[in-house]
Amino acid sequence: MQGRSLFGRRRSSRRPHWRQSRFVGPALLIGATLAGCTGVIADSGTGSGGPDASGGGEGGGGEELSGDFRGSSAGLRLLSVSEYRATLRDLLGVEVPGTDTFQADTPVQGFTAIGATRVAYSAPKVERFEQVAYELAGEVFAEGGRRQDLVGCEPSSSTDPCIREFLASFARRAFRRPATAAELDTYAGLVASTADPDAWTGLAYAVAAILQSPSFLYRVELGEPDAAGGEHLRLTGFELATRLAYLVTGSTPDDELLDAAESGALDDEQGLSEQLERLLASPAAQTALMTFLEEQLDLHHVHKIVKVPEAFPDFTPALAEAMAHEMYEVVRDVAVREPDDLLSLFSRRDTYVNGPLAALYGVPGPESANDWIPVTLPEDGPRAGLLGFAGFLASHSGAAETSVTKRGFFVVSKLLCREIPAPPGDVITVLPEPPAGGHVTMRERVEQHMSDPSCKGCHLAMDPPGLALEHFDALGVYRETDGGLAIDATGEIDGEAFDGARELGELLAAHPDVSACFARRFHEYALGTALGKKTSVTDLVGAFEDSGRRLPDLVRAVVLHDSFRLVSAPR
Amino acid sequence: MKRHTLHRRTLLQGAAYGMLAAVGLPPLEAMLNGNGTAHADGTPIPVRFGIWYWGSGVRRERFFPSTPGPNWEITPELAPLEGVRSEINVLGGFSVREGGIVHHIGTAVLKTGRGYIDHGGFFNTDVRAHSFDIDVARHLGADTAFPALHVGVYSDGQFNGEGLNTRALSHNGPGSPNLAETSPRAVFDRLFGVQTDVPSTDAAPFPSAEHRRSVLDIVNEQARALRARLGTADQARIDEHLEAIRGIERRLEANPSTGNAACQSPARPTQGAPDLRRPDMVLHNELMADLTAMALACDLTRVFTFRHHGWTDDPVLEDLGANATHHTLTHTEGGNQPTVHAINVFTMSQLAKLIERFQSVSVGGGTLLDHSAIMAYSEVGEGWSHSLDDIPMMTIGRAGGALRTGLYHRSTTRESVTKVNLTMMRAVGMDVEAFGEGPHRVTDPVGAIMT
Repeated sequence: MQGRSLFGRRRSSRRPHWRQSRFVGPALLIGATLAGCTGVIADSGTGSGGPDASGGGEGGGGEELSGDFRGSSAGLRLLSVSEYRATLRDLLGVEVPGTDTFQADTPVQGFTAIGATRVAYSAPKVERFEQVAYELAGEVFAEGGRRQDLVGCEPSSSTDPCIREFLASFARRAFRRPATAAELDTYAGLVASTADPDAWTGLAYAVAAILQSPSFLYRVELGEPDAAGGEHLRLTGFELATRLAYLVTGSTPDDELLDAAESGALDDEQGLSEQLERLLASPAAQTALMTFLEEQLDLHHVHKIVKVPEAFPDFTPALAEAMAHEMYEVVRDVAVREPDDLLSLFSRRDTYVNGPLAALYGVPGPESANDWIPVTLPEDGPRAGLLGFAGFLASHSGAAETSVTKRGFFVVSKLLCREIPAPPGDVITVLPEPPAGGHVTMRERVEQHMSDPSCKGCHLAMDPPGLALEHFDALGVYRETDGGLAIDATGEIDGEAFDGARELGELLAAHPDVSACFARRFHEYALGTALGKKTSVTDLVGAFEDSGRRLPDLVRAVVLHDSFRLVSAPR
Repeated sequence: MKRHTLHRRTLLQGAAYGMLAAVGLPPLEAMLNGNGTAHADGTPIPVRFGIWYWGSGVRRERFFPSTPGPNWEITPELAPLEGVRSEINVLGGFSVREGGIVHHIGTAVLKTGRGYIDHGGFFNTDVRAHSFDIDVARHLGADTAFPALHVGVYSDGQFNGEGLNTRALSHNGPGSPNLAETSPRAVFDRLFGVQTDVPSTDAAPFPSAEHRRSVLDIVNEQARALRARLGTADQARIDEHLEAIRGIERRLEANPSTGNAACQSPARPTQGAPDLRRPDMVLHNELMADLTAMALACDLTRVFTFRHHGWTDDPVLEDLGANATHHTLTHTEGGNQPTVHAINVFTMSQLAKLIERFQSVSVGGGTLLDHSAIMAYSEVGEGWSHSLDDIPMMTIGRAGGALRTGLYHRSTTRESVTKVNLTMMRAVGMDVEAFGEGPHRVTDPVGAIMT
């Protein structure tokens, strides 16, 4: 292996060195912060609130985005594990085997889609891609497999013309663009040279080779110069079709979409809109669009809830599953099934319960864990919306105690898109012990956050929403008191007061920053990049508001926006 | 009717994805020279390198001994290592000499000898360069089937939402973490091959090694053509891809390495990744230690990183009386943190198990440990204070004679932790003048532990 560097490296100084002034200190669950935390980056020059000032975007260490560019740079995108599986299902009609077949995706800034533009496929993953290509090709082309359906003919020899026709059509679907003549020559040659004992074997090798091609494994978004003379690159029709298909269906563009790309139909808004509507109506759209909310709202955290058995003997895997089921069903209803105002997720009292969940909520419900019924939680009850779901509350707690910081951070960071800097490195981070023999409420325990000058700047922003939820214990069960002591669940955000989870939910359901945050984050998700904090998205936020804040309308606004088909020069 | 060679579900017969299947079992016995320091044909016994890591530090006052030298007293948190004290050095007084987001800065410096890059957003740091184990792998493992093995016991990887710097113990560079594999059967399958029954048929296997190579040639060419159209960041990702393909090709060449007499393909574990809620930490540590020891004994690789648990992904160890994760407890448990301490003791007991496993592998006239240099560390001194001083570090093994063992060495001048990295690199025979950048740049190893 002479002359080879084990890991040929690009220069690591390709990004500017930014002052690390903003993030100093530990990544803590309960921590302390810089003074002067106003809920946005301190030197952004803007006050708190205001849709444009918020954002999940870059801080001082931002890199490849040039100024206000609203998009990612030209380049490659990985396929996520679920996109890979869905694509192969659509291409070959077979399921990728195994559960730990692949290493998990690597999200960046909360989204797998952003990781897809920045992270490399790991070596084990590349190895598995090769193996799976043969596993699936072998399955399809085995005797009795669906090879004739796939290929569309029974080749009489390894040079039967129908082979090249098949390769052209399969490679077009796999590469999401027409294969070049050179590529087809290569694959036809491979069929001929590996057709032992027959053409089917050769075809299996060719299909396996196509599934290992970088043109299959990467989504290429290199674009072409803008015919209208704009300074950025425009995605080609095929690249746009690919972006659209993966965003809306989580899988590869079908033949009709590829045909639309080829004919130029996607070059104008009407053609693009027609295809968009067709994809939005497909069953796959509901699943794919849920991915955005799953990642943005931390829904997947419900799968790793840990509770200490002595404190929570009722917490069983079955209960965990019920918590997950409820959350996902309600979010699915509001987001994609019967699309409604996304912000109503925080105030709605319609939900679903089975036996154990009904008992947890203290509402009438079925006996059995297998029976699910829709319910409406009481109007004057303590619970409404996402912040009242047991799944949310339990996953944003410790194993035995609630976590004001986890819950508060979720509201401030994920719902309001406000940045909370890291705590400074030199503070003692253990909360004071309660007085000997005495119990104090969680509010009293975290008081120090709000009185200590090095803590309070950011904790004043972050803790109150968490404290509003203190009537729900670490499992999400309602409690009148905290160890016999009265719970003070009051707080305020931007001067607007609330008392308890339901009022907080209602506040969030009407807060402009929450809708701006959804819009901005979906935009980032769709573009595969974090946006610079100076990058304005007011047009998108306005469109989202005007349309009633439904997720499909947000999808329409993002896809039909010019930014969806622009990329900047490769980084 | 043509005879069809492809049978459903028997695709991997002879496909030999794993190295041992390619070379045939069992591997050749290694014959040794007279004093057991080299193979009979004169090739030296290769030295192995590893990193063993755990998150959230220790309780300083119960970890570090007070007497430097060979007669250090066994402290409460080192107690599990008493039986292997002759194999290790404990290192105290070394510091991460740069501030930053704590945990993040420690892990970046200990991996790469420099600070992180902060991309903004929620603790979204990444390393600036590849981690030093990559350099070691380049030096030691150019001819082995795998350049390195990255395993772990517990990780929930995806849910912490923080940057790539927090996800892995090893990085090929920015945007390229080498995630620790926590599924024992996945590690086995990758190393030792997918075992399937080989039916009695004279049909050609699908895929054959020859045709796999032809396909990889095509893929290589396509990747290079695509690379030419990309920016530098994406070129680097394609380079990683090409590197991975080179690894597959290397294994297809199927040159049996001399391996070691103690090499034997272990039984395939049935376990996947541990349950996130109730992980069997002891079992999974044992399975991974076994797989690592065998991978080294069989010379499938000479470099490993072993991530016991992180600070953002760590379990609730209910058996030890914990009612929160290790990291949480370091910030919430009062007094002198007895549960945190119990977890630290437990973690050290798991390291001891790996050391004992390596001791049980005969290599040359001694053990695998005699021919290994393992660096063990955590990314902070103490969890509750996030101290960057007194980073707990150990070296394990004799590196073929380059390392002393059995010592407690303390830096009295807050030397950079990177001196230990440099020590390891020198110990495995790398001719490296310096390691680290800026305040972490060092040119001298820790002399007291080198022979």
